[in-house]
Amino acid sequence: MYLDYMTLIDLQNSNKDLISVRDFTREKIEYILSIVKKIEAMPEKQQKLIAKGKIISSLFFEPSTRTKLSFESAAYSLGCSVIGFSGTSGTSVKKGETLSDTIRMASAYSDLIVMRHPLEGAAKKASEVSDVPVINGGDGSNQHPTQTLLDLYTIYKHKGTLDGLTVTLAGDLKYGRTVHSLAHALSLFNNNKILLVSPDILEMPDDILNEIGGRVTIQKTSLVDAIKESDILYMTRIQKERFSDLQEYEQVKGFYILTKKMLADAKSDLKVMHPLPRVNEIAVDVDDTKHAIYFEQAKNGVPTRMALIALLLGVIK
Amino acid sequence: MITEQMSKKLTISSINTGMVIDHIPDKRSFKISSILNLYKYAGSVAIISSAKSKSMGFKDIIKLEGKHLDLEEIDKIALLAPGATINIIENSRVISKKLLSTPIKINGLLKCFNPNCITNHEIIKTKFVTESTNPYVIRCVYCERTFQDDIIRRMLV
Repeated sequence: MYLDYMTLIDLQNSNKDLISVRDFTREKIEYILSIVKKIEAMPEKQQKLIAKGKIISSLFFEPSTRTKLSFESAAYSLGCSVIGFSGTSGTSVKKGETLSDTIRMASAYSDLIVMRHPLEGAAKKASEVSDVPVINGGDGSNQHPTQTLLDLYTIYKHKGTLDGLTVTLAGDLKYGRTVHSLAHALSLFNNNKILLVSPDILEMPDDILNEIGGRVTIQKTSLVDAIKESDILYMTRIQKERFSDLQEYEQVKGFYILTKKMLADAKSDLKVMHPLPRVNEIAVDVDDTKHAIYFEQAKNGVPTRMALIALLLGVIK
Repeated sequence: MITEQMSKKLTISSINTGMVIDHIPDKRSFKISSILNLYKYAGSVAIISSAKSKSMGFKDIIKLEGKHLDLEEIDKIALLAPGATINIIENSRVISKKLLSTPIKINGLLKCFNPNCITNHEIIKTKFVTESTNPYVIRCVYCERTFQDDIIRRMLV
């Protein structure tokens, strides 16, 4: 993979935080993924020495399962200690403390901040007041860049490239920040084709299509047709509550449920991904097929976040 | 300053010192006047609406006697009326003329239209960057949402 010294400088100095996929370049993504690979290949004992003695603040202003657990697992695996909270009950936030003040305090007590917040732009604001690096673990419906990086790492591991792929994004393409960010990231690479599969009311917003449209081929299609030509099928959940007309939901939901039978026409190396939690959009009979990599995808969250913590702490090159 | 002649033409005398904001899109001078609080201004203010224009069909003009707008006020006009011109008048002569284009960075002038943006929940100076000029699209630096023409005018504070 391409490794550029200036990218390294950029990551470790002028760009101390990880806030948005919009800050990514192809070179930056490739560099980060090369570090993920490097860390994953290390023995556990060696991993534990990478950031030994560092303190990570884990500030989850709203609950999270996978992101919080995998960040904390990543921090411990690097030899760090973790302080923080999950949910704001019992914290100064409940007493009316501003985000900026909470972040200043955490910045004084730790070497790096990982945060999730229900308001969009909270991570960006935090990065402006923090003296230590901030990693965005999700800000409202805006960004979740570490999810995108673990998605890209998972694709790279299986396909050996992030160029020339046909990737289907299926499900809720309107509200799903995961698919917005992944589409954005894929558009930074060459010759990718993105197939969009969603009900009319949950189509990908025009502003995102306009932003990436010039850089990548985009086509709307059906799940059945998409399966035949895809290298990656990225499923997301369609939430019942998005529909004002429940009858409409009942009519369309079946078109967005993936079953083992539907995969009969797929390429032999098609890989099925999902950011999880899954409800019923992937039938459990898909789990045992060679196509399913969504649990491995979730697992890749740990080495990906280890790499990001280590890079932003400046303890790995 | 304004006299109605027998010919029923509305004539507005020129100003000695101050600013003339010309080529404002038709009817938009009222919004500019409101945003800039021109009603509080002690000097003479002329607002001419729906004046005939060769290039625009109809246009608005604002004349301000004895007043020079600051950069922030000019940026606000640029957001409301890109393409307008500002003429600076001294001793009844135009000493400089500036074509207004939309600012690349817009700090503190707009309230983000996204209710879930952090800037609407804490005291934070808003920041926007221009993404495209035609159509005019700006992006909030914090919540990263984009906003277009009409919405942007409603976001002015």
